[in-house]
Amino acid sequence: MEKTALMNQAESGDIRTPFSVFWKKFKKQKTGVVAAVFFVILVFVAIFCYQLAPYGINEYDYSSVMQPPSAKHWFGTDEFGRDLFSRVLCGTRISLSVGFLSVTIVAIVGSFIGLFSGYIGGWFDTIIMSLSDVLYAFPGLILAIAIVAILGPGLTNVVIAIIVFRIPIFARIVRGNTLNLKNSVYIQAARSLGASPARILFVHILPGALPSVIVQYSISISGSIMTSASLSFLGMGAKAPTPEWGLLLSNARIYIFTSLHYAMFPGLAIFLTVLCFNLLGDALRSALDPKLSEM
Amino acid sequence: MTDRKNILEVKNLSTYFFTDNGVVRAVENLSFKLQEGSTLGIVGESGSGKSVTALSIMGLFKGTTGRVVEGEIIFEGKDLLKLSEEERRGIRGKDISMIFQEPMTSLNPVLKIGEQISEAIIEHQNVGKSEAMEQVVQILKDTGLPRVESIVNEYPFQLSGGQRQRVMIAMALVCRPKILIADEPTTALDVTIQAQILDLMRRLKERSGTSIIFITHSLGVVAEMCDEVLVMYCSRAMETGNVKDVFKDPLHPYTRGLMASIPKLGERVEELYTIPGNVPNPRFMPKGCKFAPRCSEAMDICHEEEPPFFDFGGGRTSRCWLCSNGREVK
Amino acid sequence: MLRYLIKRILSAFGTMLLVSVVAFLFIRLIPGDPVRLMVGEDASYETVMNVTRKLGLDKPLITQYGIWMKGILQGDLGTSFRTGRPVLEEIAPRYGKTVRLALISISWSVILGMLMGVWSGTNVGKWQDYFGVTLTVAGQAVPAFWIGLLLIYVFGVRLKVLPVSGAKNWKALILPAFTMGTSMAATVTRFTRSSLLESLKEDYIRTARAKGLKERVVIWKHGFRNSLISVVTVIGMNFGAMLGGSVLIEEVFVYPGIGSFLVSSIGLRDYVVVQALILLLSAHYVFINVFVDIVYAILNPEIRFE
Repeated sequence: MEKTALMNQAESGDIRTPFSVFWKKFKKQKTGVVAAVFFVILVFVAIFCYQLAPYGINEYDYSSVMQPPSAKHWFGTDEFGRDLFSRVLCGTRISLSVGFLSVTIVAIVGSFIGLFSGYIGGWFDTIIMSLSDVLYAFPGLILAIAIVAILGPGLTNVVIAIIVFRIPIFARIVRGNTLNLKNSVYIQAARSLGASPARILFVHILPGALPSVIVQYSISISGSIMTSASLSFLGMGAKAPTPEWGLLLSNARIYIFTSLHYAMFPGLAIFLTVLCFNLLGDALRSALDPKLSEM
Repeated sequence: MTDRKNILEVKNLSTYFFTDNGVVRAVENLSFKLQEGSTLGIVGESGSGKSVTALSIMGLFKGTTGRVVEGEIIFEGKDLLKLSEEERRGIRGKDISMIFQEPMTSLNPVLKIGEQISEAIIEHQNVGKSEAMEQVVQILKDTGLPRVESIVNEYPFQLSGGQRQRVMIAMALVCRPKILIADEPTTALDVTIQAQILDLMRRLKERSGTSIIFITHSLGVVAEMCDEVLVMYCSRAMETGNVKDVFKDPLHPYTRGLMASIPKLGERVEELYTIPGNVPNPRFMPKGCKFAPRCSEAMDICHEEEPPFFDFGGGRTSRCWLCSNGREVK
Repeated sequence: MLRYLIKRILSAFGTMLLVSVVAFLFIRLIPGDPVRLMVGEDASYETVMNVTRKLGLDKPLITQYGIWMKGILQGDLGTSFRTGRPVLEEIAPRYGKTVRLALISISWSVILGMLMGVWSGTNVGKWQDYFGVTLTVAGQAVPAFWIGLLLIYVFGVRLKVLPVSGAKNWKALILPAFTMGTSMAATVTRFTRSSLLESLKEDYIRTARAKGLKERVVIWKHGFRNSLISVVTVIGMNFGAMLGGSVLIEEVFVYPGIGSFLVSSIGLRDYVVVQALILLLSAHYVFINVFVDIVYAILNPEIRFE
């Protein structure tokens, strides 16, 4: 069926660029499109949060502490009478920054490590892979906690922790792709035509690994937002009065016995943002590489 | 010829697949009869609808978009298509069973051979586990497998392709079915193994008297194995008849083309004959005879109107305007 | 099988050796003087020297590692700086509680996840599948500590039917175990569904149906049995995340396990305890993966007979 569909397209004279193929497949996934729209809204909110927020994030008002949601305060107020809606809104910028900053660095560093490890092979590969095995041996959050315990609490150290514990994920994916592509016919052809190793790596192998990297990028962002919120919740991440979502939840903990709204909205923000990047990752995966679907 | 009674009769069968990219008419208005104790060969190129015909008889469309949209499949006086799923399940594997093309993937990799055969026995016969196992050992011995007692406790990956196909044959025959459908059972095997499997099937058939539908793309196999033949092209029957008659005097140009492309022993030719052109894209089917674009004898009418079946008696029919001297079948 | 087993266990010990080096370097990697951090700014020079000697930080690195390893092999994980008691004694009772919680969580989430996955995967395109997929997607994105807080509010504060903290009785385990298993249940559902769909496309499923087997038998014995192989791998891979997540859940529910102990020890800069806990949790994870690989081999005859 695939073949006939291609033939039809060829006959109707459509120009098929890699992007148009991708877009055609991506559009078919309703949840992916919804996630993409939500993603755009998130970025918009992250950029203009201070303009959008009805109150200042540190505007104390001791006359109205722990107020439930109302027309005046959509999400209610916190223990200092600060407007929770404004704080959650501005938390978007923090979470997205942490996510994008850490994952962009991880993606670049991890991809390079994986690329060289797979291409050079030998002892270099062995060392890199043993190191990544060790990092893998720490269960999930524990490694991040250990790193923050060494470096001390704070958002910068959270970013560093996320980078360290996500590098092996990217390195492995790109290494696997590199190993596959290294021996493929078209790379051999390029080599026989006298292409330099650098050219083979960056012009021929890297683009081949790109789809998996893009998918992992999206999923890693949700993972790193979750990690940073978790660390802040444990008191190892952002410090007051930063409106980081995990920290807001941590503050809300002691008030859970009297009011729900304080814990409700920051958690909802984390949930929806993580959901958005997960769905985006799923849709990208189906659109970029049907073989990877559902893995 | 027609003194034997029909064990299976397929009438005007149409099976379509409803895919995202449109409807694929895999079998179109197909009719044939299978006589008791005889072997019918269904021959055609890949994609001609042979396998889908088999799946229609078995009712194995679960998990696909396929569906029989029209026709009757009459087995022992009952129309299989009118039975409930539960009733059809009782026939599958017991009265009608099937061997598939791919012995490497058609066996469950995580279950022992003995278990995979005996579960069919336990499903259809009122016997216990140990008795079923005895039957398994017996049928495996009949297929000529060595060291049967240990094979029942082995897993498919421990066997070769030929051995797995013997297991598949044993599995299909263990409940003594009245009809066996073999869908290209030798295509995936080495040539020497192919001959052994064909030989085995012939032997088992002689002993049990099972009627066989033998699906293949090779006229050579048809000549060796079958009594009757049905030639399919583009989801349709093109020609039917007794194997000897068809080989002696093929009526349809497509059958003639197929026969011309079989290499003959002792005859050196510059180039083996191939039918020109390709099987048409199912989405752009020719209007008239589906074979007309590739046919060297095509006339004007062939491009305009699809020919009906012309009957020459004794089961010989042909869907070709050149055969219009025969009796037209409505 | 035996050779595979031995190989797998040896490689796990190799990994553990490297992990122990990392855990060993832990205190030594802390910028500045960890002893100063532990005892506080205003402690006397004598106290600092005493603690330094007690931790053996005055000896060469290799010697320190040797002493530390020797201690571990003799069951001595060091002495808690905070309580002055052996770390092992501090950890042991808390460890049992965490294991109990983890076992309950993994049991319900794996069983429910598999059932939901099969239910969803055999009803593709129907409401059951949409229901299953929606729950899955939500379950994988929801922060466990948030779910925990909401549960506390609903069942502890509003309905007042379940205890919201501690580990006194089985009732106290319900909310933490539910919270801890949510994400695992979602993951198992998702992978059971997708790998069942994969295996239902296989040729041997058609063979099973051609034998006239009941659909229930086709799905569970032929389809599910095969998809189990990849589901088990995924469970193993996610077990680490679950162990890590126990830290959060124990914090939320004030559950006296090793997770909350880790957090409080970090807060109090009791680095000897932190070091021991990191080593313990990793050892756990590494050997659970060995166990998963063995289960995998049992399920997959091709590996078992290698």
